[in-house]
Amino acid sequence: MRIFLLIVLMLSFSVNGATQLTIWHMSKELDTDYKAIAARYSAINDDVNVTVHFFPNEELKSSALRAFNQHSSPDIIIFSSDNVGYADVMRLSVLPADMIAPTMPAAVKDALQYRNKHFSVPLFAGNHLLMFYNKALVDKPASDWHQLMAQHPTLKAKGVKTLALNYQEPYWFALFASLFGATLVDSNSDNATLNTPAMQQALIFYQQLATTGVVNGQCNYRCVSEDFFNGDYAYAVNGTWALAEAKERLGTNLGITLFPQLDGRHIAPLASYIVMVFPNNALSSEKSNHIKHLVDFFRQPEHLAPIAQRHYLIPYYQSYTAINTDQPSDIQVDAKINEQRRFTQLMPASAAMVSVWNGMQKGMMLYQNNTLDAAAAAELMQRVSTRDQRLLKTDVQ
Amino acid sequence: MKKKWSLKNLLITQFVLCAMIPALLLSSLLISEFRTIQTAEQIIKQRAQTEKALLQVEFELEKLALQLQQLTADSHAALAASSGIFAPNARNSLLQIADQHPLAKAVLLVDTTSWAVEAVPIDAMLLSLAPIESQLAALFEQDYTATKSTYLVSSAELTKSLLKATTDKRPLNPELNPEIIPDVIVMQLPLKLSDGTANDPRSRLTGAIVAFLPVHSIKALIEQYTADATLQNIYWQDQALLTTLSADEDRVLTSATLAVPGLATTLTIDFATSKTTVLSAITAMTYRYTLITFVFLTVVLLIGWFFVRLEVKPITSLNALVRRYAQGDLQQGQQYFPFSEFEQIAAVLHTMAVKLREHQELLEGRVEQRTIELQQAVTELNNTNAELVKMQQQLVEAAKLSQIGILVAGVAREITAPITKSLEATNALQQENLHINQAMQNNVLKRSVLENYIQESKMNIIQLNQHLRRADELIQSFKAVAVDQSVEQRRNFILYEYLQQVMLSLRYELGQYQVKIDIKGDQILVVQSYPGSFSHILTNLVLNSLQHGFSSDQPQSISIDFSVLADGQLQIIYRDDGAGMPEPVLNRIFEPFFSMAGQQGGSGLGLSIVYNLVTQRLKGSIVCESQPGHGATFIITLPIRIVVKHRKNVDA
Repeated sequence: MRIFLLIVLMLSFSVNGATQLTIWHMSKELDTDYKAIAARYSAINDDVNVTVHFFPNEELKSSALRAFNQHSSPDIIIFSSDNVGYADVMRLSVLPADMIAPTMPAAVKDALQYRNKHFSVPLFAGNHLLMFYNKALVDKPASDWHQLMAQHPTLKAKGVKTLALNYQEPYWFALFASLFGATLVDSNSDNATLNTPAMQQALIFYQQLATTGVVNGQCNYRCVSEDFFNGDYAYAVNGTWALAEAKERLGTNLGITLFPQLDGRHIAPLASYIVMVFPNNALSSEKSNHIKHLVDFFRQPEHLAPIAQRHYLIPYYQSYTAINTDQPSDIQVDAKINEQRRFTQLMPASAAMVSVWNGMQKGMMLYQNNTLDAAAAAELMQRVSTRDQRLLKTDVQ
Repeated sequence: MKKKWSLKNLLITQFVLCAMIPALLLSSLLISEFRTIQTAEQIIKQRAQTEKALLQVEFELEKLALQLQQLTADSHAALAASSGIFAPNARNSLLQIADQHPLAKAVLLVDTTSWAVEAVPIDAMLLSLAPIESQLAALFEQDYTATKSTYLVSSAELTKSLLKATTDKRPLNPELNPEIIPDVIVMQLPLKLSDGTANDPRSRLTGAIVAFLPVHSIKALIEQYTADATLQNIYWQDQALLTTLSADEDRVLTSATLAVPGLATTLTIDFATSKTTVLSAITAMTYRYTLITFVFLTVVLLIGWFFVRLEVKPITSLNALVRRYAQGDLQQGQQYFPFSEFEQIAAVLHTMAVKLREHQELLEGRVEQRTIELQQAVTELNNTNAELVKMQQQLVEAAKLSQIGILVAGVAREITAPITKSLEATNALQQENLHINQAMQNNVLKRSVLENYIQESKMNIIQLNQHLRRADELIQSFKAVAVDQSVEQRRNFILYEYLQQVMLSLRYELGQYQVKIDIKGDQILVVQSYPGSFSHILTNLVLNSLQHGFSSDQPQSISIDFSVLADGQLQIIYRDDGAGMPEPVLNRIFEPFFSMAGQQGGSGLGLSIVYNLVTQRLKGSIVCESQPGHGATFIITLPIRIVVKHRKNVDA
């Protein structure tokens, strides 16, 4: 229904004569900021009307695909860079050369390439999960999972829950997969690599956290955000996108720490860029110039810098300058983010990468339901991911 | 002793029974009526409830079918069958349906290879679709022409998997559901991608939505809606799906049908309610009533006890009052009672007591007077008795005198004849003498006259002599008897002779009758005793026979046998053949003054004197045997001293 209204709105604007540019994104925290930039752009450019719409991650992807049939595709989608793996099914426009700045750092260039092509324009880097803690509840944050588990009885005695995890989200589970050395995809072959002993260990450990009560198996995003901000949890794992609100809600009680180690092994949070893509070959449409103009406008430092500062992100300006050089708002937090960032693992923009989540979630749930053992769950993850990846290669249209 | 009823208990029982019997009868009737009404109402209620429940289930099934249909219209679902991108959306839709429709134990989104793309609950991902393989294959073969269908498959394995994989928070209670119904209703809807709504070759079948609804779950839901009725069985095309039936007890049975959207025929469902449950309200009411009755009866009992106590208390007091009166306490004053009736009784009793007391006092006075009079009478009686004894003695003496008189009279009579004869002879002699004398004086004496005179004188002298002798004999005899009767001296006498003499002394009396006397015994036996007493005894016995036994106009006999018994005692048996005596007379003949009625001449002391002489004087005994018409026999046994015994050789 929402999409239908959106289409009606877009059509109405077209009827009025102004070029309608639509941006869909999946970051609720940045919605206001995006809309502000769009509004500024629209204000400056009378012939262009930019509308910004937020959709949750999964809905955004499916809605984008469905929009093709209804000829109501957005012109720009802002999402995490790993989703570039949907380039085929979303008919993402390959960036023309003029949109690929020579000044783009090589590492970024490599990270954003899919099949040796550029489909996305980076806005921010530093999009990954962090370990938050409440200084009012934790004197010294655990640096080891055993320590954290040892703190559990004490915290429980105080009536405080230990760790908030968005338990059933595979993106959160991926942290623990990395703890046991599992890699979700093989970058070389662009295949999912989920059916591994490391994945099985991760499943077992993850389940153990729930069975010991360190985490609540029914926890969702509310736990890691609202409940943590309310002081119900001592620790929470949330994304960098939540830092601003966390700082606002907890103030000086907000602490950021490195993910605890397990027997010397580190967690490598999956990181991505926040990028702009152009579905349904938008850059080949009649609105391509307007789109390019809007992208340039967006990527001006005066627009991205405040957002990056507020949300602890690394902005990528049109000129690819001033990266990570802004004044941090909180020295301690920024330091820990930077420290954690050293352990992050960039999610490749690949079909394999975008295909692992569905399988991972089904495997996790079946294992958590005790329907499958760890080995069978890992095997199912692999099968589902393989199938999804195979389907991605098929033109759904 | 037979236990007596207590008035109090009777009254209390009466109270209780009067309260209880109508209450129980009325309540039994009412409860019976209530039960009938309740059963009829239950049938109506159960039918309404079950039909309503089935309507609710039908509504939910319709809603499910509609939502599944809507889901197929959502391109997300159709896309999800062919792309993992849409999996979360499809999953959310499936979750939403599953949440809203717990009847759908599993909802699967399958692609055209029967791969479970999404499943709710997640465990259903692993569900074996073999039981519906052919139906799915048929669906996929139809491609864009495929239509939705609903069918029933029977697979225990599938049902168990579904129930195991359920997300339903309600656990399957094996006790409440002892039998798993293996049948599953399957709703199968094709997923198609098309540009429009037209169902034409431009559409493409991408998969299907499959919803599994175990009949077991439907049954559970129906049971949830029909809490008051038990689902008895489910019939599909007249075939019972439940094979384990509930215990055969008294139940209220109704049937209703359940239409499953898309299913060719309806399911028929039987419901039952235990009559125990149906009538639970009545039973509860009965219990309540019983309790109320118990309380009521207790109250009635208490009231009854109170009233009975109130009623019985004056009775008890009255009882005590009467008992005291009965025990003779007539002095107590009038008591007052709460009831007028008792008051009146008490007043009457008091009046009676007063009168009784007066009468008692009067009686006591009279008794005292009577006692004095009695004592006087006793004294007088004693005096009289003494006088009587004296009189008796006098009479005895008089009797003795009478006997002596008799004897004297007899003597007089006996002696009169010889004396008269003697006097006649003397007179004749005097006349002869006178005649002779005159003749001599006149000298007219003649020889013949003299001779005649001499002859006559001789005759008269002889006659005179004879008569005087006779008189002498008589006098001697009478003298002997008279002396013995008047002077009791122990002496030796020949018993036989003495008895002859006694008989002789009674010649005159015996002469009045034709009596033959026969005395038998040792004629030389000499005994030492009181012969007078023997005389008295025999005289009285003979006189008794003559006066009371004999008739003067016919010959009679008296026999007297005496002998010495082996023990040395003398036995005298006096026997007559007179009229005899009846037993009542026989029993009293020895009593003083007893005389047979209608007979004259007796003093009534004769046999009494005999008795006294035998028993007191002679220290012996006497018995009498007699029967009317057979005479009387007196057997007298006497201790006696034998002076001369009969010698047997002499006698011989």
